[in-house]
Amino acid sequence: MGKYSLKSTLLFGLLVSLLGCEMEQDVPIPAHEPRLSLRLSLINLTPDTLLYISTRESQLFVGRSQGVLEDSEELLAIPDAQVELFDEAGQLVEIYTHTGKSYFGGGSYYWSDSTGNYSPGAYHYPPAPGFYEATKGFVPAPGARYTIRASAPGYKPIEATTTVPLEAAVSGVAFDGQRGEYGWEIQGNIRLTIHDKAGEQNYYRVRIYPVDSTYSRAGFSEARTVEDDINFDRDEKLRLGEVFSDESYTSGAIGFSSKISVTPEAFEYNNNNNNNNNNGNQKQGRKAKYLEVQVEQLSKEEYLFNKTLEAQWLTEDNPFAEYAQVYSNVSGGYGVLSGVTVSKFYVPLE
Amino acid sequence: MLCLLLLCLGSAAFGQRHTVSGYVRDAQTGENLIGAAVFDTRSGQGTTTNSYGFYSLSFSSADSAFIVASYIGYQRVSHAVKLTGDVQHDYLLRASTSLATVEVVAAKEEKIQETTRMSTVSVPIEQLKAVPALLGEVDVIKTLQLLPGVQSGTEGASGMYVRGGGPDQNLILMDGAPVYNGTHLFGFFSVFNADALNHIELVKGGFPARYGGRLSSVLDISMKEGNMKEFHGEGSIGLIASKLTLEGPIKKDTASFIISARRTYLDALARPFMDKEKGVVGYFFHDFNAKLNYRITSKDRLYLSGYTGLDKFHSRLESTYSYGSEEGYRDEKAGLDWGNNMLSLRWNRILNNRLFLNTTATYSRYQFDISIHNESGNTYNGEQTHRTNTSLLYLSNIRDFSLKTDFDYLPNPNHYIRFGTQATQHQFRPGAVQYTDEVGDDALSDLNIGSKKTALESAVYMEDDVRLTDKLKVNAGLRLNSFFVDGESYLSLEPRVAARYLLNGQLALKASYAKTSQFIHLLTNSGIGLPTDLWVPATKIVQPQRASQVAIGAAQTLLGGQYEVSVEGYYKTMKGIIEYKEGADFTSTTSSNWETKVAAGKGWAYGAEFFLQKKVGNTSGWVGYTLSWADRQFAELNYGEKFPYRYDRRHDISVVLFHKLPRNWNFSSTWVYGTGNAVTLSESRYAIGNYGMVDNYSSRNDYRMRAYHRLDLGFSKTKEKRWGQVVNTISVYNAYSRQNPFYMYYGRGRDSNKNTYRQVALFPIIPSFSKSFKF
Repeated sequence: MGKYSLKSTLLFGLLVSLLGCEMEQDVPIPAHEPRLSLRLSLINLTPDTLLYISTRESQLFVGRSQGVLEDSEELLAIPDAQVELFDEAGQLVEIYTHTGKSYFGGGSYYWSDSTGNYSPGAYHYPPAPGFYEATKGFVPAPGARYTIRASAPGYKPIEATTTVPLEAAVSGVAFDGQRGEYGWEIQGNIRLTIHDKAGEQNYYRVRIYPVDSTYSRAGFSEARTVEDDINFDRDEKLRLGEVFSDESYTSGAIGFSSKISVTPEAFEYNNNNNNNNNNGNQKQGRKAKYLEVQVEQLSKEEYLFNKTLEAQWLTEDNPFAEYAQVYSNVSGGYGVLSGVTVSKFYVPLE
Repeated sequence: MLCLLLLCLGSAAFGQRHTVSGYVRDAQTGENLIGAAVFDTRSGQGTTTNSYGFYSLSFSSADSAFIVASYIGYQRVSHAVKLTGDVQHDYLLRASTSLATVEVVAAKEEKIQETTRMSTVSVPIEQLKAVPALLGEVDVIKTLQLLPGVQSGTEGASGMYVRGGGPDQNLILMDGAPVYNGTHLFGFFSVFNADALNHIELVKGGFPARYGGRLSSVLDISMKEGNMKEFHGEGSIGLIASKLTLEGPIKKDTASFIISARRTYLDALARPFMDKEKGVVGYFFHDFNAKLNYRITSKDRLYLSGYTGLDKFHSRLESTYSYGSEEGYRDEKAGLDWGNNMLSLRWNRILNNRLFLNTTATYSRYQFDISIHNESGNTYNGEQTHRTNTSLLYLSNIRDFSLKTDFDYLPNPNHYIRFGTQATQHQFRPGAVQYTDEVGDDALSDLNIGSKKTALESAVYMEDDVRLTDKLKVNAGLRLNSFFVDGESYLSLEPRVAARYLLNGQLALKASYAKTSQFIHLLTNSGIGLPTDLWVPATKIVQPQRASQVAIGAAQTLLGGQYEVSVEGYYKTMKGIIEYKEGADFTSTTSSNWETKVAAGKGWAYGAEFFLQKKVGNTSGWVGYTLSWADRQFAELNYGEKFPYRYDRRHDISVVLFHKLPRNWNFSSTWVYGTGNAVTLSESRYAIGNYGMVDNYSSRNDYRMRAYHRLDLGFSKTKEKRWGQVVNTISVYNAYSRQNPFYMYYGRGRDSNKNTYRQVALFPIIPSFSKSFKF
């Protein structure tokens, strides 16, 4: 009897252990009231297609939230929002209209027509509900404070305020580029010094684009930082395109130095041929002559949004990491309105 | 100075004439009995043995005494003494055969209502071994988790969370040396091999001044000393591990040894079924304990004890190919290792009949490392044409050297004075990276980062357990801690006081206050428990942890001492505790950047603990219930708002039952219930265009996993053999196969295909069998 009981127990245990240990759990998450979300950086540059192509934060997006257990992602963009920008005096300075086109990412490919004018390839911005464009061409002023208000049928209105930072003081911009072994890229160290104002917290980002002899950026890829070594302390290195703060710099001078790689030839396609096969239409690209070094001074909102969003991406599905909440300064909704002031410098490519 | 003055004045001030002192030991093994009661039936004076089995009783006027020495689970020994001068006498107690009389609760034969100490629990090793265990592996810490005020972390884990404190706030001492990671196999088993242990005591609050360096608890574990009389062994064979312990005299009644080893063998069992070209993975852990014990003179004794333990995960994938004259190979290896090493040298000396000295020198080291090594190459017509070699090692460790001197001074039965000093040199290396990348003979990368940091921690303390009246007894003490690191120094003056007031012979009211400080931190992720937690020091930027704890309670014996019941309430405040900032994790944390990845904050813990225990009879056991709250607040987390600690557990219940059946059968069971762990969940999502979707999380730890409950059962039968004893044990873990949550994730439902949260449970019902033997 004892032996049979033991066997039965063991078999029963084995059977149960094979059933798996995963189950759905009902979590009493409160019903979510959808709210509007927006993302926009006010940049001291003309809001045109070229800006939208190279800086994704420059083109307004309006979306909405939904409960985590709901399942309708296609509805997350809002195409019928009314969005307006006001200055500190309450004057309307910009109105945004829905176009449903996203330009970001199309910056590497340009079409040229017979007259030599360049325009981004249309196939790179498929319909993208939720994207808006500025209608007045308003250029935000450094040091000024702005408020954006958005409303849409069925949603509570939202608003956010930011101050566009002052221009960064920069000196000593230099590049020691050399053509790589195969000739299709140029590598070198970019160096510059940012004169950081004492007694305040400042935030920066550096971006670099190749430009031709007319200082035209069209068709050139953004320069990127070259990682020499496997990287374990991401926080301590300054990289192109990544935000950083002056927290670790007490001397008043931030030395930005980064090994970068640049593709000196623009990717262009001949617009006179309507053949959709890009390879067949690629024409001889223009050559870059300079680097356009953009030193951006950022508002705190832009810095926090980027850092927390990066943290959320990095920690997604990572059992070693803490969860990361993404920063928002939108009252009544989600997302961020931030300010960016760009200073441009040009150095010879080679 | 104060101590010297006290020593000089001691005898004169207290006016004692004669002293009876010595050791209380196990008659069969010669092991010292810790916490044994020694009392004079004529005067009613009594004391308990210290951590080395030493006692001292002083008499002011009596001419004779009738002394009884007793220890739970042992037969009493009595002895008439003529007090014509100081007497040195060792008591040898014989073990009782009845397990049913084994006691779990505090302070051994000193009744729970009589001692000033509160929030203190001792667990006899025999009781520990009788508790049903996961996969048959007896586990010290899992047994302690069954006591009120001590909480487990996640399913199956051996972490301890005492009164709302963190896992780093427990000072785990093995023969006086700190153990920094007390777990094997990601926390499922503790590193303490029960066969090698003599005594376990857990202090949750009301810390005497002799303990310092941690905020929440002290787990003081003493290894066996080795049988002084004759050679013995014991061991067991289980489903996942086997162990063997041998002990005996090197020179009878003078020197002894004990060695104990344990190893898992899942890797060895699985190895024949693996193909190296498809990948070989394996895991094992092992422990090795050893101790030498040398009685130099009747007044001097030397102990040398050591421990080494290792967990090792390893994987290897080897492949080759051949294409015409070209041949190639690839060899990929990865490993995750962690373990403790500990060495302790102790010298006991009886300076005089009232003064006992213990000097301890210890070494302790904990390290984990992650290694990846990839090598590939090819040959053409036998000549090598290409070779790459990439190697990555990430490691973190902490190493201590410590010297400690403790005095026990017993001028008369109304005073038990302890004083001493300690100095510890810590060395931290929280995250070092060594990386090489070679192609052919050319080194593409050779990276070596991660510096060591040393710190000096020292302390001096004094305490007196003083009987003020027949009803009022107080333990008052003071501890001064200091910590020097990077040119920065921290001081902490810590008053400690505990008192009991006897209302009648059976009921006592108790209260305690303790201020504590902790100069080291553990960087730990709030997700699953892994050995990858990093030990770091307080620095100029990161402050030490500090806490104050107040406890009040009552303790009573019932039905002639068959039952003991205690109720305690506590309130603890903590500051300087650290956590990773949002988005931070250990994988990018190094010795140079960890300070930027942590947030410092405050904590509160309060609650009530109820403990009812039946100590004697065929049926024994206990019921523990804890009602508690634990909160945290960090300026940089949760928008600065207060939030529940991950292991904030409103209700925690443990029921433990032992029953002696006929024909040498024993039955044991445990049932536990705990409020679900607090978790942070995404409540909603929103789109922001080219950036994709963003998760919007709840307030930190705003949700709860399902409640945890589990029933474990154990049956054992003891068979007496000519050569010794065999115990066959069948245990069933999670008898009704409750799917207790281990972690949660967001995903699609299996059947509904809708978004949902899913929980993963680890252990369904797990029966196991083990056979242990003793000779």
